[in-house]
Amino acid sequence: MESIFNDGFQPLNCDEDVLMLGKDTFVVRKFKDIVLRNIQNNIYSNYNSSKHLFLLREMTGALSGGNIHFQSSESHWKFCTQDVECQLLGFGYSAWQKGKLRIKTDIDLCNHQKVIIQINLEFCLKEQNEYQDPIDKLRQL
Amino acid sequence: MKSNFNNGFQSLNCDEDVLLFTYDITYTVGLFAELILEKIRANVCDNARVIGIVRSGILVNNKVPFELFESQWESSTEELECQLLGVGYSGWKKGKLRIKTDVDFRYQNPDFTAPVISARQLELAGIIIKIDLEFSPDEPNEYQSPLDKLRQLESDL
Repeated sequence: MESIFNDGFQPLNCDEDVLMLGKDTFVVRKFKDIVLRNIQNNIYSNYNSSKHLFLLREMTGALSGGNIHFQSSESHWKFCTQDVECQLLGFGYSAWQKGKLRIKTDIDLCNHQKVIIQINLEFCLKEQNEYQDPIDKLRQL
Repeated sequence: MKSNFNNGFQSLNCDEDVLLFTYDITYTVGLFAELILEKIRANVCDNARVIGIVRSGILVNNKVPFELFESQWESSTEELECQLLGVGYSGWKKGKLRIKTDVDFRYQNPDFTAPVISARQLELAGIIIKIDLEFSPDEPNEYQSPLDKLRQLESDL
């Protein structure tokens, strides 16, 4: 899942940037919030909420082999979605940037107080050459 | 979870080595790994409903679907005191054992739709479970892998 060459994908770190999917627009902050609620709905399912989370933890929680029992010390569920076409607009952009968006998450199930959900949005420009980092633009100025 | 400095932990790769827990409970590394694997398979099978969750994507505004591309579970257990004996060891090595697990849910078999209830079906459903037994000797200097011993023998000759 980890790669040095991230297939041209870069993390979206500016929460104020705007994403456009189809005709819908979202500031990055809002989009992350929608993703977070999606995941929460999944893992704390509507019915029998605590049960599902319990199952998630139980699945790779404590382990035993024969008579020997091990407590769990780390448990992460990580996923990465497929790419979806989208456009990005940020401060200083001369136009909407066409590209692809994917969502990466790291869900820490080991903390018994609460589940820690970390979301990373990654964007890949369709035409790499056209891309100019806002900081590079500043330097050029 | 990945670290270059693995706190002195090394993978146990020799199935013939023997693990000793408490006073008199012994398993070969190979059997112990198989027992752990069976337990994880059972955990996954018992909680088959979870598989739906870990394979479901994200739907934004009820319109834009993000299907999952990769989905995996990584876990590690606490350390447990144990002793290790292998071919060529001068005695039991005291140390700690921990188990790392990697469950990969990504490979979906489109032909497979039945609820997952057995190890065979796990395989059919494309769920790949990997485990790694890791041992850290209490006295690292004392540790010498059988391979190193062979190398030493060779250079001595």
